[in-house]
Amino acid sequence: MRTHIGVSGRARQLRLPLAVGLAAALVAACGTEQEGASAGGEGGGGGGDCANAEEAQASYEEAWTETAEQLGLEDLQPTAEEVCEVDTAEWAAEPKQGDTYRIAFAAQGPTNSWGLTNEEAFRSHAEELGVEVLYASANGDATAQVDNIQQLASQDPDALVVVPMGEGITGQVQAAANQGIPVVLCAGRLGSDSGAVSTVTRQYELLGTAYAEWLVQQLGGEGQVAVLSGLAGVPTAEFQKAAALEVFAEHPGIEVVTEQYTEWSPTVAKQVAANLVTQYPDLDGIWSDSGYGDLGVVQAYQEAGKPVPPLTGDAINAFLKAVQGTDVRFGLSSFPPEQSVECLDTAMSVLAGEPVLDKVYINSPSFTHEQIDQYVRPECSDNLFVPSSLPDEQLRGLGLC
Amino acid sequence: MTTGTRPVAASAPAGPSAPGGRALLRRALSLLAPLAGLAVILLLAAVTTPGFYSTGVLQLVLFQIGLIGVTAVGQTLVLLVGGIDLSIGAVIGLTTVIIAVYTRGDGARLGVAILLALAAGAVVGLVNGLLVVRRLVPAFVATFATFVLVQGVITAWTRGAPSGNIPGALSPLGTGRWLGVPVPAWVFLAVAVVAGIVLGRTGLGRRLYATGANARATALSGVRTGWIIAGCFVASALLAVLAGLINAGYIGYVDARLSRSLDLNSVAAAVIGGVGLTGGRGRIGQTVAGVVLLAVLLAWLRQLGAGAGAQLIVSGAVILLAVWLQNSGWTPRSPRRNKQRDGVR
Amino acid sequence: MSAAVAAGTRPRRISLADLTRTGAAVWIVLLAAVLALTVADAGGFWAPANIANVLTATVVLGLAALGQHLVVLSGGIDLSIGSAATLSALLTALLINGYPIRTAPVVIGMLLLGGLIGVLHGLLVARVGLPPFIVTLATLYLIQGAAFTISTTPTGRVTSALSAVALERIGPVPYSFAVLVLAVAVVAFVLARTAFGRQLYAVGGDPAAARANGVPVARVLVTAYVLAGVLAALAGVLLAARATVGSPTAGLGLELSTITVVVLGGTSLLGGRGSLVGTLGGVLLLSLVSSSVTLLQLPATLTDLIRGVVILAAAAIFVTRARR
Repeated sequence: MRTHIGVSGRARQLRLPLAVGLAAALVAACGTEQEGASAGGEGGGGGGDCANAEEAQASYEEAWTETAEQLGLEDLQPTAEEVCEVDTAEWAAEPKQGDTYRIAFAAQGPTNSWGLTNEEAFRSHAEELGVEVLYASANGDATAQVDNIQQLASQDPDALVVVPMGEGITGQVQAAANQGIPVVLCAGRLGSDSGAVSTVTRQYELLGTAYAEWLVQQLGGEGQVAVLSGLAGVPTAEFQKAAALEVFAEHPGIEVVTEQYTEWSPTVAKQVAANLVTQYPDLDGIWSDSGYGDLGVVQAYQEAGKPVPPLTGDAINAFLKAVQGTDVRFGLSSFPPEQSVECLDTAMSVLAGEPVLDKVYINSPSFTHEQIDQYVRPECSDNLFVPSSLPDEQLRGLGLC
Repeated sequence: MTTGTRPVAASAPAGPSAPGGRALLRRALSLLAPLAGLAVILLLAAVTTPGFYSTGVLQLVLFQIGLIGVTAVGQTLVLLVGGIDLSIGAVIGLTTVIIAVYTRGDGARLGVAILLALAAGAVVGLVNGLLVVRRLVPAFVATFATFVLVQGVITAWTRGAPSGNIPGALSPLGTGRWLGVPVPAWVFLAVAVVAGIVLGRTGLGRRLYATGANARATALSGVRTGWIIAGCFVASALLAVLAGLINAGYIGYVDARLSRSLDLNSVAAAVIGGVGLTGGRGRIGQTVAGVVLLAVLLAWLRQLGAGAGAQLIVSGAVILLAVWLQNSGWTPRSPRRNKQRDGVR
Repeated sequence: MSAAVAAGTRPRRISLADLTRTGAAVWIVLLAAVLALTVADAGGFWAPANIANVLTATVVLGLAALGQHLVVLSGGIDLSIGSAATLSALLTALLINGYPIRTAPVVIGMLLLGGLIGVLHGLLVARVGLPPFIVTLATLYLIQGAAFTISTTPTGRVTSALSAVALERIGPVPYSFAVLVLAVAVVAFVLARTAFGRQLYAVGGDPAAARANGVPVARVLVTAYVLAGVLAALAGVLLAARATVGSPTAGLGLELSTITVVVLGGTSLLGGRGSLVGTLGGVLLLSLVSSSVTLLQLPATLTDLIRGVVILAAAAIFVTRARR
């Protein structure tokens, strides 16, 4: 056998040209300027002028006002956000194949009851409207969804509705938009250069801010708060948390003593909370983004024989069942799975050439411990996200009631 | 990886050896690295998180020890025969789903549900064992395949949203205490003692070590190594069912996120304790030490309020450090021999 | 695993064993799948756009799998491939951040970073003598932790030139496929025509004998891990190119997919024996399975089940026997 020195030299010779060649191939244009944010996309944000800005802005603030009312908040300032009307005339089209529209739906997939309800609501609404659905499941994984979107786009649907699993899909969404397919982002969002015509979602900042403001109000602006977020690196968790931390930073009396992740798992949340009980005996409130997490938190405090501090989260039936009849104080809102219905409506409006907003922020119910009896569904499954707009019969068919 | 074809010369069983002063010393030394690590962490905890030494935290650590420990014992058995079990997380998830769907919260149906869960676990373990023993599939691949498959079964069966509740009758197993110590810790203790006795004091244990150290030679001497290997996979799956029951009792809900994660804590615990990946090397005592170390570490990181990044970094560093220490003379095995054994595996 | 069941030696049909060893088995399955898809939906399946889908899906997985192939041949395993790709994807987008001038240096920097990770693995495995499984399990955590420390939210932006590589295609062939073809050619050449290639098989087959014959075992191992690290980093660059932004979870789970395809392709996890053709077949098969679930509009609840059945069946029938 040959000596190794020659060998590794040879391997290195091979690696270097590979690296250099590839890099050279990648650099098409070599400017020192940063490419503009709109480089990869078109049609997002409606260009330079914000059309019909006042009315659009009013509709944005409406969701905030309503949430503030429902949670009894005196002071809920909408985060700065420019909402505009988009002229969709360029997207108006007859069905590409046959008489019915084919709408592609890149869904999360049935990894939990949210995903299940989300796609069932979409399908049944599509049936009502008489449109055909091309479906793909990401199984909760952004990498899988990248392939899904490419695949759906290659089947040339009339429109594409995407429930984004992460920002990793941005490039593929841009590609679909550049291919002439109107894209509607649903229950989640991407950067402003995604090329999507419209984003239809419950606003993360609204949830994060409202929970935080409710907590501040409950505590009278004074006290120790723990922040329990969902899963590290996932936009749903990180954006809500960032909004909350901003609110807490504005209140000097509030001290955020710890930030932890619950992975949206009651088991993990319970272990985290059991730690809180011992480590921060004087904890005054818990900001959490999920009802599943709250389930574990409540159990941990109850088992330790301590009063549960006021907490926040999204409304899941299991949590309501668990705290009904107790003196646990909570402020809940919702990230309703049924928002997919509005996503489909928006997609249909785009195809009809009707003006839509570039960001449709869903208005959905918020409530506190005082209204629990209105919302709890004792006869339904733990996994039901309340309040559900699906008819009971359909919920029963899904095993959710 | 885990699969050992080391030179026969290096494969003397390092398992339970004849009683005597040297053996005892060797045993004590092999526990030294994890115990030293434990001492370091306890010290760090004392400095950084003053509240660490309270009964509340102790309870929590003991619970963690119980939960990780039960699966780690099963994992140790599989590692000892040169395998690895990646399907543990999926079996835990499957158990909670079976309990919830079958009982629908009715405590009277709990007994049958537990039997069903045990049967399902046994089937998974048997499939793993058969693939490894009969089809000679690497354990890593076989158990990863069953992990994906079981996860698929759960999704197809429940459509992602399992209905039904966990009966309250199960909750003492997860949340109960006896003599102030959480029940899961007692369960772990019992499991570890039984496994320790079987491994260290019985003929079965000796055959198990021999199988892991050199299956071919052991088979030639008349031991039915296939049964032993398959048995270890079944035992691991059954212990995963037990862990699933503890988990179900602890939280009282089907936690959909649990079955979807490839739970490597059991492997990490065994390895930190010093159980070899190539089979035939390691004792339950080491696994217990590894479990305690890992549980204390996790609790400390949580107390510290470390971010997700820092937690991962520390876990990775501890695993690396533990194995490094074990390989560099803290234990009576010579590093040179280890290099031959594990260096390329 | 364990050579365990040597006792159960049974005469086997040579044909099946040969098919498996040369990687032909997985191609036969692939052919059957293609035939089935042709029957089920010829127009949809053979449309250039759909072929492009399948080919695009092979690029990242294929690059990472090439690296895994080399490491597995050496008798090791690399569990950190996914997190190395994640770190590279995140840093690519973060550092380029839309400046075309930075593209080349950053991409080269990422490949160097991948190489560095590989050197670390190689030294720990070859010089210190730690088991590869543990070393790379530890670095899986370490590197993912580093990525989370850099950012837990999506950040940065790649240039349009870079994303064009990942997103555009000529007919049914995406540009990025050329990167994979190039990498395959290099790896194939290295394995078949260089002394390193021959030594790699020798080290994986029997390290003691290789050492006795004067093979520089440590250097061969380090080189294998370095190549794997570089390929994982390249996969990460393409992940970022396709995403256009950097995500701290981009390469999640890639390590298990790569091990799966390498094993399906007939490479022995014991090292020393394996077929590059088989690994590539495994990559194509996995891409085909996941894309056909969407093409045929099969119920999503069955996705995992189908995936599990395919892996399990392939493992039971085709995986190279552990015994030598």
